[in-house]
Amino acid sequence: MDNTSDTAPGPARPHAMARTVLLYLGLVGIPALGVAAILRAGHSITPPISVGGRWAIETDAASAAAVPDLASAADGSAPTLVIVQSGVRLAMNLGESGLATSTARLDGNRLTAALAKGGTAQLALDGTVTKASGSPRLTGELRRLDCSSCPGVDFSAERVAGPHG
Amino acid sequence: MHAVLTLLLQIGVILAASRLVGLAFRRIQQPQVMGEMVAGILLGPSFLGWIAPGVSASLFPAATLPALGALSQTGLVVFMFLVGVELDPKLLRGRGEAALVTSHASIVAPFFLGSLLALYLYPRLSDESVHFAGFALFMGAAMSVTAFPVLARILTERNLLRTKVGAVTIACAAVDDVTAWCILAAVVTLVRTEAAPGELALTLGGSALFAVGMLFVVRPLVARIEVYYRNRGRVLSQDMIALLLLLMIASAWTTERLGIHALFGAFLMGAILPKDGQFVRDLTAKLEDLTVVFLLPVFFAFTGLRTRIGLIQGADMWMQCGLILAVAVAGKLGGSAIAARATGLSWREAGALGTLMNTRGLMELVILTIGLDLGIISPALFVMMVLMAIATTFMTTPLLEWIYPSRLIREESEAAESKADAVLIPVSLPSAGPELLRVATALAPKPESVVYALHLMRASEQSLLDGHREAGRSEIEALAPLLDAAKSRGIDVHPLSFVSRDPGDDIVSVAHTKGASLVLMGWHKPVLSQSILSGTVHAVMRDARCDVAVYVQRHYGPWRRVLVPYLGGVHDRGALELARRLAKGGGVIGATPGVDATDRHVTILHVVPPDRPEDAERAGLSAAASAFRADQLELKVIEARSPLDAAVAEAKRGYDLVIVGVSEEWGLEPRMFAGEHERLAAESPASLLIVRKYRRPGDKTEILSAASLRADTPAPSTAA
Repeated sequence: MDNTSDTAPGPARPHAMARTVLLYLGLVGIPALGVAAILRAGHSITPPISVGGRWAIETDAASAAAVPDLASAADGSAPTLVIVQSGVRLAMNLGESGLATSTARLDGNRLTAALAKGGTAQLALDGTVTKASGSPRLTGELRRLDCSSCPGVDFSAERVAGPHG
Repeated sequence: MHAVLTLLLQIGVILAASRLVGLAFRRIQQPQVMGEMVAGILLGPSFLGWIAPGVSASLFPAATLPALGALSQTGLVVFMFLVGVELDPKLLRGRGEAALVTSHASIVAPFFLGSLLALYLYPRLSDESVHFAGFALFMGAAMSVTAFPVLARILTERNLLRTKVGAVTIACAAVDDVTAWCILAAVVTLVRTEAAPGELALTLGGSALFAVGMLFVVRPLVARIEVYYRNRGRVLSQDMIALLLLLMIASAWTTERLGIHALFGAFLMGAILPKDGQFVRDLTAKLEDLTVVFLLPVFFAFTGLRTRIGLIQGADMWMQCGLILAVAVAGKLGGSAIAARATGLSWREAGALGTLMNTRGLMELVILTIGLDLGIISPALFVMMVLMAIATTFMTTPLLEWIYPSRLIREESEAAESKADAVLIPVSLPSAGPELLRVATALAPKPESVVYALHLMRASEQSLLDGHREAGRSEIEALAPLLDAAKSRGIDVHPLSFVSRDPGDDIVSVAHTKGASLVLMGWHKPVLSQSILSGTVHAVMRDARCDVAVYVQRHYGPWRRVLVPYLGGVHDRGALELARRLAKGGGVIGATPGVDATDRHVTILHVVPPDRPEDAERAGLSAAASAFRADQLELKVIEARSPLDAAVAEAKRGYDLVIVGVSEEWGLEPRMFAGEHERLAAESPASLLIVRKYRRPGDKTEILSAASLRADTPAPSTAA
């Protein structure tokens, strides 16, 4: 009465098994080898440098006077620049100033950004990341975009926290 | 605002939003979880923070997010424990070569494409803090994942589970689930030990030791909890739940401490729990609602708060987002479909399987959260992957409806049901087995119908220390007379036996699992009750999703004369159907040696009230009379005020067997407790077969006609 076995009779069975093995090799084995090849190839790719995290900007009184946003970002202490990095794309916030990136890009170790408030670009940042011993440093120039006659201000910043804390 | 007040307000808003958006999505045939995922995004900076930044800032101040995050992680730990609990290891093995190749290909293909995509994305969306190997493997794992819980729900809702596509899909999804988590554990270990190379030995050695301990020490211990549960009458006490939750927390803590992730420990603890159906149902029922309704929406909202769609800027980033979606669909849907097609499914079936496997849903969000927390993926890539998860989950239902319309699913499901047609014989008294087998083979809907013989042991027969074990020799001995009879008649019978606290529930469960279209139960006089249709019989007749027949043996030897009292109800039709199987199939009557073919009759006794005019049922019976005669059925119409009196009187006229449907008119109704009825059973000298016909949802009661008789004519039975 029971006729539920799905075993194929006689000679068809080895043929089906061979077909399954071939299918397995083609659909599973070859892509798996491909993954191994990709992992090998990926070693030669150079990713963008890591700039994400919290940076403490070192300023002097003259700089702060020249760039009022730095002073408002500082809130009495060293102003901080928070960078959220996604590869070469960056999102920045300058302390509590309300300034956030409108555009920012990482090209090699050069970082350029325009910081805006309320849709109006107000501050341009052009810096270079260097890695000596210890924490990376960002050095460069801040320039007011709403004042063409105002001179740029040199700045230096040290990363005090990485992207995950 | 006070921190607790803020947290309560946050949870309230999250719950309300998730239910409302979930409701809206259900109205467009999307799963509830889809709406909850979208609700989370809406509460985050991408929507609420964009249209009402002030409200967003006051509702979700940064200082309160750690508390929300902790609640969210707790919810995930419990959820992953439940995913493990519901993981059925049977799905991972023995599903044939097609499922093996398809399931592995459905992992490797998207994994390969995800890794390939990593070559392009790594220099653009990652940075030097992540090694390429970790990034590529994570992208592969994230592309490979399938949302098993969502998929299982879609399969159930669309009645796909019993189709070929459903069976292969659920097996593949289970394999994918386990494999993806194993790969992810390896990736997390790799990434974490890259950051702290000294901990590699601790992580690898500790993980191996932990896995061995869970499988060979904890698993046997928790098996005893399940035995204790069964012996306590299947009551899951609060103490037992607390113990299981403590074990879950210990396991999650250990894996987190080892440097893998707490979620793996919770999942593994759930996965090693015993898989007794009732135990799993009870445990999930206790934990699932709180987790799914309360804690998971918090996780979705927390994920939404971290999803800033604004991070995707410019056409090139949106193109990258599109590329991720395309690769995800090509790898999972395309890879699964091609593998399924290559292993023998039709293009339509393969497309449906690929579409279902492409559902990523919540599981993808869990994996992405781990990736973001560990810094494997950047925030912008996280957003792109979240959008991909939402898009692939959203597209499942409409794409499935397009590829595999509900109408086709229904037809295939019905075909699968009609193919099943197994007969289940619960055997209580060993000596009754051979006679029940004789009846079962005569009533089997098809020659190829599978017969299952089930013996349930009382829980008290098993000690707590026996643990979880398969049916052994002593249990099969109870079925020995039946199996001997089957062997002598060349019938293949599948024996089943296990400990049962609730035989009614277990018989129903086995009947459903084995695809039985008929449960045939024997009846012997119990100690306390005279009633046939009470106790276990009542429970089976109430709950079984197939026909149920109870055989009361009074006559020994072949049946020459069979009576079918008939009033026209659905169960009477069920009785008539079985009588026709006996007569037309030649089953017991026709094949009995020494019985003259002319000396056998099946009499349909149609009882009509004397004052009732000719009705459609009566007209249908008259019209079908010639078809009855061809099947050796004789139609006898009598007028009587009391159908029961007429049937009892007729049954006393030398019949060997009376086949009757359950109904109030015959005094035969399933009841919890015995009552003052069953007169037909008490006064009939013939053997009795009481039939309860199962009405599937959507079945209509039709008037009996010659056409309907021709349509459902069964194939000749080979049973002797």
